[in-house]
Amino acid sequence: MPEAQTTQKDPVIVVLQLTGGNDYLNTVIPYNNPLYRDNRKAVGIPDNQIMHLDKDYGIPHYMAPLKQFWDDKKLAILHGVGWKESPRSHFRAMDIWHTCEPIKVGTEGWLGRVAREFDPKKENVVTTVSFGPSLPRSLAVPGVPVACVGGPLEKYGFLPTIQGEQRKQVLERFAAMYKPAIGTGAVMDYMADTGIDSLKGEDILKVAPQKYSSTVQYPNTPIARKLKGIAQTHLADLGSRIFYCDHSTFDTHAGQNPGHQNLWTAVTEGVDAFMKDLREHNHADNVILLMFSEFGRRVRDNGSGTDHGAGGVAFVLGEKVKGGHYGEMPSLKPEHLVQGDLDPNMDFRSVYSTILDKWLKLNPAPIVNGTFEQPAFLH
Amino acid sequence: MPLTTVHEGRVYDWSHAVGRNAARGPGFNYVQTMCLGKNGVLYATNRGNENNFGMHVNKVQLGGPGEEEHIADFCEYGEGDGKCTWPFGIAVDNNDHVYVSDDWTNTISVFDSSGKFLRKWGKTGSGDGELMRPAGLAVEKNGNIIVVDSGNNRLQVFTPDGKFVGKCGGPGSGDGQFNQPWGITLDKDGNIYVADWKNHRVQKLSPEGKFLMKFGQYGKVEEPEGAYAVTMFGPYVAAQSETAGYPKPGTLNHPTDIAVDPDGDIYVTDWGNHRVCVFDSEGRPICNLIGDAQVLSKWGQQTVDANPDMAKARRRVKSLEPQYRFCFPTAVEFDPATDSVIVADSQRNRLQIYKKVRDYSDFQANL
Amino acid sequence: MAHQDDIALMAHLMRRAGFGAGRDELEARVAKGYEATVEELLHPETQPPVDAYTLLRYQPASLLPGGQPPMGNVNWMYYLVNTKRPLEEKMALFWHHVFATGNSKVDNYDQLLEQIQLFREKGMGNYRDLLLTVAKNPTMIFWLDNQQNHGTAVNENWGRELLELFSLGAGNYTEKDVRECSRAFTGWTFETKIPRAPYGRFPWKFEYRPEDHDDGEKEFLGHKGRFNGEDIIDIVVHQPACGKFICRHLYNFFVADEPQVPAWPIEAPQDQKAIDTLVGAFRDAKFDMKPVLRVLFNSDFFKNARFKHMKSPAEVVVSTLRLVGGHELPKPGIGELSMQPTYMGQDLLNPPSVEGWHTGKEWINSGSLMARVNFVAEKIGDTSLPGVQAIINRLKERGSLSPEQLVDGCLDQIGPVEVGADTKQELLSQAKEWGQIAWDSASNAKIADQHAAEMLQLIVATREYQFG
Repeated sequence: MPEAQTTQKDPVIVVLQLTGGNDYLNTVIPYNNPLYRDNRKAVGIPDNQIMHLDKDYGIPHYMAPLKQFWDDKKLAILHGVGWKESPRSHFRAMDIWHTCEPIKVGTEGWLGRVAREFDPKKENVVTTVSFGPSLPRSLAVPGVPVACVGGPLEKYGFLPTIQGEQRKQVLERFAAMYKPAIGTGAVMDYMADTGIDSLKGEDILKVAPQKYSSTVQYPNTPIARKLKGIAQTHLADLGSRIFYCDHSTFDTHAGQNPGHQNLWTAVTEGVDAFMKDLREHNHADNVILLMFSEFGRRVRDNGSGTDHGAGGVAFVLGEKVKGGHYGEMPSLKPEHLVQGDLDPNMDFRSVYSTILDKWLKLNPAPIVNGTFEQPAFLH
Repeated sequence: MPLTTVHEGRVYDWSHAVGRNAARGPGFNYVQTMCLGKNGVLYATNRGNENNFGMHVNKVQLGGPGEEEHIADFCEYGEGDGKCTWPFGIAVDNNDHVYVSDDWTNTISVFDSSGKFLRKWGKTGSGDGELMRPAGLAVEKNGNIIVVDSGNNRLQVFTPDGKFVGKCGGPGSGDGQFNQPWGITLDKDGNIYVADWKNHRVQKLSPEGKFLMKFGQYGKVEEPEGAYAVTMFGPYVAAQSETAGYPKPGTLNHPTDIAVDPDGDIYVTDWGNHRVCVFDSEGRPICNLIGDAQVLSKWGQQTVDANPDMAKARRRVKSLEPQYRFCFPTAVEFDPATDSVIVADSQRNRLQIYKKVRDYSDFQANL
Repeated sequence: MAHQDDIALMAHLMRRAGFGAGRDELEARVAKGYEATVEELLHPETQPPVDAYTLLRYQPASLLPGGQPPMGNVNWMYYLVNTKRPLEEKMALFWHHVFATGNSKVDNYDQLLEQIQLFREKGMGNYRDLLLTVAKNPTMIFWLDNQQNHGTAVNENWGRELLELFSLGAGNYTEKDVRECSRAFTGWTFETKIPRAPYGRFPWKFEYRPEDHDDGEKEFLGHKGRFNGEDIIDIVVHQPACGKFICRHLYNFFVADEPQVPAWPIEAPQDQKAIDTLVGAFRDAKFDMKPVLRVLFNSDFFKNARFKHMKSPAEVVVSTLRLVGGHELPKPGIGELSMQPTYMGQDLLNPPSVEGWHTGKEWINSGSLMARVNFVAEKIGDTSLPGVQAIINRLKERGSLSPEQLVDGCLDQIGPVEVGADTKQELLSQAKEWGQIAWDSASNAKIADQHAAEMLQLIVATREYQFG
């Protein structure tokens, strides 16, 4: 395989979490399979609204921006992702994706472990940047800083009303109070680390929106705003390697047809603008985007939507991605379903393993707690 | 509630509704008070909200059913001359100049009838000429402006240029005292009627501000058994809406505005009880109007026509009666030229208009 | 000083059973007595209700707020800041945590506010009655799709969450129980409501459709019968797991931070005896909440749990606004103010899912820590606010303060708050930079006010202050 042009920059992973359990079968549609129509009397996508990817699968018209990435072979579709005996509970299922611990309650996020590998001495507190008000568990490892940008990037920082020389003194006093001390307990230590890291992160991140300039117009949706923030930070070359954001809620128990459409329109338009932005600035080569959800949904619809299921679909997108299908859609035949759901046939940790091994150049086993077959979606 | 109410010689015919929920353009966004200009022109203050910031004054030409036209928006949200924060009271003088009170900035702004800003005055405080949450406004025959200075529980009079002339009232529940009053109106003799909001009554004062009369006492209903509560504060739609969900006549729950017609009948928006109470000139209760909007307004119909799913849903509802009823009506005007009672049905962002019918004769009972 | 201990204990009670209290209120309550105060808290009807009419005069849009924030948040924030019935409001917040229903799907803040009103009215009543009322609450039915739960096509969403999140907790039922439970609730739906165009929103009304109900034989948690929803609830509340689950929730919310709910099947409570005590009270009271709360607030395990609870964003914002004062009227800017808990990670009336929020330590991350510190510091540093002036006036009573007196005085008046030795050292170092402060002249008073405010700002920025 010829070595593609690289920008000599460290590989970056952007994760876009689809929160709520995205419906696999209406996302990558087996349009020729009669069992699809049989099971989806209410929420099946009409034939004339499906964009064909090939002779077996299509995507709904409202995911149109992804079609170009598919045609350019930059989009990998990972079929049947999940794990054996997955729970149908949001919290628990998402926790498992985040911590790679299907049985015990995991405490370390897989990307938190990655950050620890990249930057064990915490030399760069913006190695990981999360866009959204709450810190996802996937990024959480004790001692690993995460810059959590809850609002607009421009306004990020402590005590913004205090400025000038006084600010310097106050922030120094703040830093002194946040020194970890022995015997105050795990939570106090956690807060100490959090506080100090935030101070450092503030100094670094405020540069990003100041330096940013682009012709790309992002849509006015929450997910597009987050992706724009990611773009600004990435384009500022601050050494950030891990970006995280999410869009919700994909939990379409009822009213799935308008609901699913709204969700994916926002996501695909946002992703399209994001990639355009990166390409315009020649900063796309070292980025891949992973989109996943905590589970797929039941094969048979409930008259208005679909309930929690098991096997789902994940996407990986980027300049260096080897586009195409990976794995195989689990059988829809009733005798092959597990409790009415698609039987997962690709462990989610396989997806992580490929990314860790081939892209981030890390040993996957300790991060995902095991060795898993790696679908070959990266050059 | 029938569309025509006959009671003690008064006949009220529900005519039509005007409006829909809109932060600007045709429609309303939480009317606080209104006033009538010449020839059926209506001005209303819209409180808006902190999502759309649709605070503004709008000017609407009223007419027969479906003839209403939106004319202008002015005094919109913002800082500086000609803008507002919390528009509340409104009144128009003989020169068609429009006075608007702002109960956050404690100012009175003056506009011409096209909405062009002319001048303003007002300073926060309790001294003479100072204002604290000014509410309703009225223009006297001599052109002076009476301001309901609600935070100071008094009335103050200013010249059209904002010079202090006089005041009356003070906090309390005695005669001539007020508790956070809201709306005001004048009758043809210049007597002053004030909706004494937290005292749950209406007070009538002479043009010099001397106490003349009061009526109304606190009363509200608890949710009747099996009723449908349109909001957790009512109105309640029950089998006999007229009586079940409404307290007895003469009782008021936070009244907000008054209008007086040429016969001397007094209309009071009984805000917390979701009705307009009609009293005679002695303050004796006559009847209630509870809202009868069985037909959509013109602008309302336009919205429904553009949204077929809304139209479908309306057809599936067991009863549309909750939509007929007033929900926190804030203001009332009487237009002598058309004998109309115009009510600002504030939570529903519309006006409901009743006609006081003059030449009504009893119908043949055995038709 | 015995009195100082009483003040500190009362401050703890008021922080947990309500949203804190200023020094004047604490002194009045100490004079009344601890148990008497608990009784007053348990009897909200003895205090006047919130004056909603004043809210509606100034912010009429907060009654039917529609589907977009912030007017729904404005409505609840008004109650939270103004209520004289703190435990009633705190219990509404508690049940909102448990019966987490979110606007992202409901799209009707008016309906969510009605749910909160329901929690105010029934939150300290009987749990079984509350559960039944919630089962019939159209907003909950819509949230968990029970209107899509038909005898001919069962939808398990409500049935599952009733067992997993509202009563028993995961691991105490089987998938089959979920199915049977869902069957029992078929037909529990609502009438079509008048749609929002063109005159605004109208509420749903519960409707039971017997023709849609599967009244066949069911087997649920070992019981057999042609169960309907009420029967399921009766079976559920009598399960030992139910008392344990609800009492653990109470412990986590009012006493000390437990691990997150998904870990409860695996990790035992930190104080099993305390849970057992509460469970006993719950059972003896036949699931009435007040006796359980009375036992809780009067217990030693509660009294000894000072600062063992990470304040939720709602507690941070509301307790700050109540302390500093000046926010009783819903003035312009109330919209943005009411969204502060959202920026700190808790979007009231819109939890991220039916599983509610991750609480305790998980409220803190670099984003939310910054938001909390920034918000409280900005408010406590505003000397024009009456509550801040009240604190400074009490400091002023001494005439002049040494650095130690300033630090101790501020820590006392703002809580009392306890900080570790290292933190105290830093505060003292800062105070020493200023030296003695005094209010003996106009110019000195100005400086003294400023330094007092700065000391308060430093205190609220500490880690210790994040606990309540």
